[in-house]
Amino acid sequence: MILLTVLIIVTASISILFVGRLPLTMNDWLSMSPLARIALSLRVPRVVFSLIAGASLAAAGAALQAVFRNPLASPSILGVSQGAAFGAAVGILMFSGIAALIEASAFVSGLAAVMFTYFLARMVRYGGSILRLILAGMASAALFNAGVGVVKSLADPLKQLPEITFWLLGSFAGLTEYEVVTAGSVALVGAVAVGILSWRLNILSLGDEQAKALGVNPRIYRNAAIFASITAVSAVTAVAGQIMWIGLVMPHLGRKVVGSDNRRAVPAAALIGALIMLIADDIARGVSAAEIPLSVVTSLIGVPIFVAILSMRESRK
Amino acid sequence: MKFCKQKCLRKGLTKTAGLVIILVIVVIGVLAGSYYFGGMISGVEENVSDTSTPSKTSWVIDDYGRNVTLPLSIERIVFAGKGARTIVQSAYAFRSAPEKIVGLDTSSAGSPIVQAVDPYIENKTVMEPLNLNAEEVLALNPDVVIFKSYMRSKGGKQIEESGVPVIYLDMETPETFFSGFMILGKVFGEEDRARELVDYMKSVLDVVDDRVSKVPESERPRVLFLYYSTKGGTIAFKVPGQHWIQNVIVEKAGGISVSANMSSSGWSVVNLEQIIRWNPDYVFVVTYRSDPSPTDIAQQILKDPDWSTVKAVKEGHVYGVPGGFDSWDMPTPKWILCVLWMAKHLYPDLFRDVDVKEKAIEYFMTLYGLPRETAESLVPPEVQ
Repeated sequence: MILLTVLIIVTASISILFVGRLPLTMNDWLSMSPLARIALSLRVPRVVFSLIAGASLAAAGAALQAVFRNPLASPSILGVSQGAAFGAAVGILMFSGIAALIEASAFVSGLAAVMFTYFLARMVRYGGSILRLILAGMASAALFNAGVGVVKSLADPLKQLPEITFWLLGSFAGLTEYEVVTAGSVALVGAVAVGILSWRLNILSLGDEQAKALGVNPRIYRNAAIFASITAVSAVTAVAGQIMWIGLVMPHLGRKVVGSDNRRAVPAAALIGALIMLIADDIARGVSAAEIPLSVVTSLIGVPIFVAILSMRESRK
Repeated sequence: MKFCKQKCLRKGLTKTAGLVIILVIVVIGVLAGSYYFGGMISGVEENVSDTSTPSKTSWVIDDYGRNVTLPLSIERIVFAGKGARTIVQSAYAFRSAPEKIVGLDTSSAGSPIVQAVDPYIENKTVMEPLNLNAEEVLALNPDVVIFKSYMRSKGGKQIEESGVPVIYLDMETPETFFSGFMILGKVFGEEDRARELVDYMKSVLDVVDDRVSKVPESERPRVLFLYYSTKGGTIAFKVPGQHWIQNVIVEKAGGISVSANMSSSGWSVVNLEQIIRWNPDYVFVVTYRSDPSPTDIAQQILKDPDWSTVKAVKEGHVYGVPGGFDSWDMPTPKWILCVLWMAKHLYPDLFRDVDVKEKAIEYFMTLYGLPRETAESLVPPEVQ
């Protein structure tokens, strides 16, 4: 099953290399004309990063859903994306042009946001643990969104504002090979760590009491899984901006296909995430003369899938 | 069972009906409220025109189509808010601007032209443009406040309500640019000068048009106007949308803008594949900053292997737009010079006798009444 998915992804990745704004003939490809070579050098980094980003966002989403025992948990519902967006916006305003600093700012801020959500959830004295988390996440996400709003109002409307706005909707358009390698490897490390932890996630999703009874310290593994997830998400967000819905929907799709055992659901989510992201970025770069913001595409793909899964739920059980 | 169903249904119905009633009440309330307040606001506006100064009054129609009655004598003018910089550069073409402008934004006050033209700039109230403070503006006791058009929703209305005449200027298209100049002329009480300056600026455009208009459509070069943005850590290629002044500049200079049909109205991001597909004959670059300068980027593009198949690169036709941060393509009076500068690049033979640098010096001398040396210092070094 997994082998088949991998095969599909590899074929899709290779065939998508032939699609883009540049119309190339068969001859171009066969003779490897300069145009074909340029097209490859432009498309390969994006395809590689699409796969990594899709896989790590989906794996992170799956891990967060297991850790928080909440099917609605996702990077954006916990405030990671908004936190990273805020960090990046502040970075754009303060150290314009210095990529590493902006990305570091996004990364740290993403981490801070999820910690804040966690902290708030402990303070909430209303509802069960799931509701508390959703409420805390809403509060934290709203707070960081407001922060982004403040930064936007301070930004230069002619120059900085469009950068922030486009950034909030995500894009792989400006990715350099250097960014693909650095952010890509950080995201990959996070995703692999999530994968390694996935067998413990099953125990965590039973609840703290059960985990302790089974001799697992829930706190250590929970923190490790959270840290691995937000590392992956923040790394992707730091160079590509906010990408919605992948982290929420792909884990559901993964579980739908292979069941709720995290040892299988996490890799499945990652593979499906990679595939969907590949297609989404191809649409973003290839459909119109202007690049379409990635989140617009991922939302258009993700929302129908989400609704479909929700309406299927009953029949499965 | 059946009984419950009916009961529940009835209960449900009552609930729904209740909700509908509440909804209707809310909608009516909102409508009535907006009608009431809308009426109040238009009432205020009517009052303003009613209580205008006695005897002869003058008025202008601004770019929102608002009929603004001007006080009989205007001695204190304030420019404020975001984007004021572009209109302030036009305002200083009027002789009485240094005396009459009492307050302006930091960005305008720091611009080289204002520094060169206004001897009293040190004594003026300089305001932060990003967060408009209505009290700060009103404290200057202005006779007229002038904003860039998009400031209306960002604090402009507050000042309108205080009764001080507010004028919104767009000046982003040739039409609103020249009409804005005429409005400024009226505000400064220099209508003759406004006419004279508009005629002069149009004459510069005519110099280009006379030569370029004879070039048939099929022989016009295809031009990419490229905003090379490095903000936000990543490189983005952006192109101006349909009605933007950058596309107007390209068209007036006798080129065909490859991005003229982009549906978006602002800058849209394109990827390099799209640029290679357009395969423009000429590329003009802006960065809106001095580091990297447009000229640096033009050089970089010429050397970039990924760009090597683009016709403009093959033929060496990649140029940085003069001005850096204070770029010539912006909707300040300099956009007219940009047309001339670009036309000379597109048609070197047709413009062999035109010295762009000399024309730019004459332009700054005419517009701002500056001595030759000062005017020369305002021409960026990259203009030859």
